[in-house]
Amino acid sequence: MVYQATQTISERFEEASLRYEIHETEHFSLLECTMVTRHTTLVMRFLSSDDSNGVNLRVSRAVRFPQAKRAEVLRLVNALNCEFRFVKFVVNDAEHSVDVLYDFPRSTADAGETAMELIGRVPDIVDEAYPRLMRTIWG
Amino acid sequence: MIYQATQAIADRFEEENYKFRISEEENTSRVIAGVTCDNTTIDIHFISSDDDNDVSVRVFRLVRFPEDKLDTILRVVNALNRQFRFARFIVDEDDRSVDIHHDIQSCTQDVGEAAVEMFCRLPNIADDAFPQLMKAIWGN
Repeated sequence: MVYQATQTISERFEEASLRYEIHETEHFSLLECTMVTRHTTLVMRFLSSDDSNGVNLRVSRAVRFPQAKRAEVLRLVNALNCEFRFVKFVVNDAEHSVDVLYDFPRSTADAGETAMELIGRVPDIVDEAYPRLMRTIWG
Repeated sequence: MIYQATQAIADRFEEENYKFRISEEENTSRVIAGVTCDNTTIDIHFISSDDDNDVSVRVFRLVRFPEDKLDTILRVVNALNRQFRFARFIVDEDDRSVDIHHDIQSCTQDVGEAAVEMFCRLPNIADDAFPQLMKAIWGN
């Protein structure tokens, strides 16, 4: 089923003429939107698992890295978390990747407007972080 | 000066009978509320630097750690960031401390309500995280 926050976000994205796709399973619905930045392409997924406005934003695999670089990537991810507001960078050990997360508070009144703010912020943040991640992994 | 979000949060905390104080500095104003948890005591800062609803929520120095534990703490902090929603754990390398961050978006319509939500969530998160951090610092 398509939860109400997914519907709200999709309506707002329609107003803004943004391209997106909706996926639904038995337990969650998600709106997926691809953003092309200067350095990379990211897929932003807004997940809902109930009818609250508690939406999870996930950007999976912003970068991938070899196991040998884990310690350095972990240190850089912490530096990025100190530097950038709103989102959280995490190392996904199972996938050897860096993911970017944000959780909408349940008290969010307008999930569509919050999603639009994140569509504005998150690609810029990832695009700024990306060269530093790449230098750490490949330098 | 006291920014409007600080006032809105203070008004809402008054309604909820939370204890708090307001601090104003040259460029910021903040509401500070202390919470005693099972494992620790924290101060939650709700910091504004303009009249938007864009508020930085910070718990400073949840724990401190010795320099030789930095690598271990970075691993534990990453695991905490994966485990807990809403909170962003960060290692302040200069201070050798772990802080908790959350940022309220400027498009938030009711910043008082968002602050109450964080006031309820963050102590539980901090209290769950604290033993994991302590074991990392003091364990074998």
